[in-house]
Amino acid sequence: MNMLEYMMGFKDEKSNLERGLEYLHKVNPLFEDYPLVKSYIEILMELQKPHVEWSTPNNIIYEHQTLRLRHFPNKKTSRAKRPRPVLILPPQAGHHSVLADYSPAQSLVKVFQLYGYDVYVTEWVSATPEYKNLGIDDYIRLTDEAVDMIRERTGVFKIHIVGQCQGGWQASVYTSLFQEKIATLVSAASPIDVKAAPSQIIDNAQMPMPVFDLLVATGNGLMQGKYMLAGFKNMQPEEHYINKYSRLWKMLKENDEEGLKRFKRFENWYEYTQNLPGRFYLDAIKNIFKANNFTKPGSFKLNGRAVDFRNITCPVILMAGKKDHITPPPQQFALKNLVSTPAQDVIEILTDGGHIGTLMGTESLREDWTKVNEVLKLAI
Amino acid sequence: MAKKSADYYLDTILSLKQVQTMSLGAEIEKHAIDQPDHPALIYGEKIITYDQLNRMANRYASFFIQQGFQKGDVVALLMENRPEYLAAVIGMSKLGIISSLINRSVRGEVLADGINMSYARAVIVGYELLDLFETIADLIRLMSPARILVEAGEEKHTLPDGFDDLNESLNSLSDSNPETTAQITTEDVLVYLSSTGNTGWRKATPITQARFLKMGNQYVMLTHFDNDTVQYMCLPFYFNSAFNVCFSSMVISGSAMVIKRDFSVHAFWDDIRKYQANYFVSVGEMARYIYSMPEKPDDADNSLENMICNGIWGNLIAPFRQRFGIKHLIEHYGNTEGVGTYINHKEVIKMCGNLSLLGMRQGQVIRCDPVSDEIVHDESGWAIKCSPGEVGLLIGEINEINKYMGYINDPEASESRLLRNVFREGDVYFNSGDLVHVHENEDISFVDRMGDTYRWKSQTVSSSQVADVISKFFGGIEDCTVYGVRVPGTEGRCGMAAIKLVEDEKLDWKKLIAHINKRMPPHARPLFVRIIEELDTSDDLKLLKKHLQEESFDIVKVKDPLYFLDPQQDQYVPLTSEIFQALQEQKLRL
Repeated sequence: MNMLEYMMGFKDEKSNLERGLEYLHKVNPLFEDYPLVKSYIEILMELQKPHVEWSTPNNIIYEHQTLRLRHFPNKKTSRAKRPRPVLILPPQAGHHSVLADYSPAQSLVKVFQLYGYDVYVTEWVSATPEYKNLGIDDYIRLTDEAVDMIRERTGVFKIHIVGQCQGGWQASVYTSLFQEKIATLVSAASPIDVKAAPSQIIDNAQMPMPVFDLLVATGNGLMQGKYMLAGFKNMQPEEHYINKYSRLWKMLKENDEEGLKRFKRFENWYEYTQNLPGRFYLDAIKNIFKANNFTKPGSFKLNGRAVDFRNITCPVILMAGKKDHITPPPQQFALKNLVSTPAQDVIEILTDGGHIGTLMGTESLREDWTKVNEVLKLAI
Repeated sequence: MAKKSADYYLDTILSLKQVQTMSLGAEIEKHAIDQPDHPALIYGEKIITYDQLNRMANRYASFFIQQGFQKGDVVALLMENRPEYLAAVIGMSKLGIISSLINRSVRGEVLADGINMSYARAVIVGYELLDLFETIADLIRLMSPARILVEAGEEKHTLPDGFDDLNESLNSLSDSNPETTAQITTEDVLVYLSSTGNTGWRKATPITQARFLKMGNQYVMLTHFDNDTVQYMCLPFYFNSAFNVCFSSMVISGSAMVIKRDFSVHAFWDDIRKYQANYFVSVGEMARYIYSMPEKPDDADNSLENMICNGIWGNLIAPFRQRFGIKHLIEHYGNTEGVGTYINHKEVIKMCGNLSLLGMRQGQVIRCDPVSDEIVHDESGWAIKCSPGEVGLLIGEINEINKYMGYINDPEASESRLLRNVFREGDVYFNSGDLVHVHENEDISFVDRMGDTYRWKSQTVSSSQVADVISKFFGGIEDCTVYGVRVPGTEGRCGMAAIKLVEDEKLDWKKLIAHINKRMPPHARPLFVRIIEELDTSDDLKLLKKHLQEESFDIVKVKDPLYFLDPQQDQYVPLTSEIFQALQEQKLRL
């Protein structure tokens, strides 16, 4: 094989990057960091094909359109002693729902299980063209199907609902429409009043609507996950395009196995993207990020019913991260002023973390989500 | 006040078979008339007479009348030992309000549960515990009107929003006896006391006026107690021994009680001499701590005559009495939720009581399997009584005097402590969960606690609760089980945790100890940790725990990594052969 063939990758499955590296090593045997650089490249190559998996044993108990309802049975608590079931709504903003059960050592599902709860998670699968016209109303309908399935299986009339980020406003909207089915609403790092504090994501959303229409059009009616991921990354370009690469190199140099394991796991999840139905995405941009309609009771309707958070009367637990640049705490905590729940039944928890840290960070799971559970125990 | 005869007390005890209007409040009101100037409580330099105590209590009663509280309502009480604690209990009891005495040694979720489980309408928080209370304020559930009342003594403090200064209101209120005292009967509930039960999870058990009065009469009659007694009380009031033994004896005898916030071995003898105290109730290792202090020539020069112990090491009794010149050292035994009173008033060495008291049957000891803890039955299916020399399960006879009240709001747990059809169809006994040794004349000595608890530093520790806290250290821990192990030279068992780690995860030991310290009192923290490969709870966890308990922290037998909670560093460190040796030789102070 000549040099040209070698670089072009003929008869070879290797990437150009890998081949270049091998070439450098071949022409300069003194290239002493070769093994580390090789590992570096291998890790980056591996992350080109991200994949996700659930950490805690579970069963799929219901599937419809983009909903896959997973049940995580709690083997430790007897059926008779089991408290109300918990339904977790992970966010659907381009990332996979496995966020709620990210790793054996970092699982919100497990936190609830240890408090005795039987846990259910709505896994939102990537939208296909068939579902490009599903809107917020459809996702509320699918949430209701999940809630009814749980109520039917357990015989419990009211369940606890936990929404993370986008899942938080979805859980809030759902509770306002179906208050009779919800015992407690937990919403974490979710934009409710987007004008309560400035954030870049809200600034970006103020671009003319045709820009977003165009984005959806390029995905043939779907909002592609890769666009959303790029949007998130562009909010912290130094971190996502520079710092993390130098951090990876440092970890390899220092043989920081733990750090590497965490890095690979996170990047694997972070880079794995999913598509959203275009209608759902545009509904959200228009009603939430532009018009701030959650703060205007009755200003938009779903299936003919006005969305009005004043219909929420159950205990509410709100959680936000001090360093959250995506949903600054005031945007989430504003929910307390919109619901009819008495002030003493609204609990605010401010975590030390950022957006993702609040939703799935070890410290947040250990300190803050534990507190959510301890408060949840008080709900009758 | 004239000394009362033994028959008087015995008649009173027997009369408690019938419901009658007799109560803590009525007894205090009687003393306030009969001996108004007799010291009731001594706190620091302050002496509170029976008249003053009654007036203090009446102000609490007036306050709760004014606030619309009624008989049967519950008020949680979170306060250190001080006169206001008892004044609040007495005052509220005059209206039939139940005081839920909160265990202040626990933290976080467990403390909040302790308050929540009683469905209280208000909580009284001592100002000294306000910081602690604020750590759990979000976790508290109170019934309407959900008042948080702060007892701040005579000092003025700025309180957080939603907290009310109780003293501001009390000072202006009537200190006259309320009319309601006369309506309180012996079957009314006086307080809730917290207990770990035998399943390990904290529960609250109701203490009726009858039980309180019965125990007061029993201890006054049998433990050399009279109106002139000055008892030294440094146990937390929420302890069964403190409330049902010390306080009840004081009330029945109309004697004086020195109140201390805590036990201090260094201050002990100075205090005894200062107050000329002659009666002291100790629990667990208190006696050993006192004895372990360097000998002094004037050790025997003190006023202490009578000492009641729970869990004293048998071999310590004679030297202790001799060194400190104690006339009577009496061992007793009991459970907060249990029935029956066991007092070794005849002072048979190493015994903690007898199966009968004053001719009244208290309980039986029955055979049980030492491995499975199951009760052994004869061919006809009846339990088998142990003979002298045998070790068995102590069961309490439930009768007109020894009534079983169970746990509040937990019928399932209440029923679980009952044994039915034990010796004949229809009989019912209380399962103490304790193994005792039966001796001649039906004397008994304590052997061990069965079930899911163990005793360490005089306190019962719930192994499930400790395991629950450790399991919730999210990150590295997959599962955990906790059990008690013996350490040479110490009483009871200390905690040991067997932990299974999440695969491929490392444990952050510094964060783990911070997590434990934040959520558990010192006596509950496991001294040893064993990292275990498998902790399959589908197998018989009880058998696994027995096995782990047998292997204990023996570095020869155990091949798994072992860690020790170094008291100096307050960190878990690998259990080396040097540390192991030092523990065996009792060179490490735990």
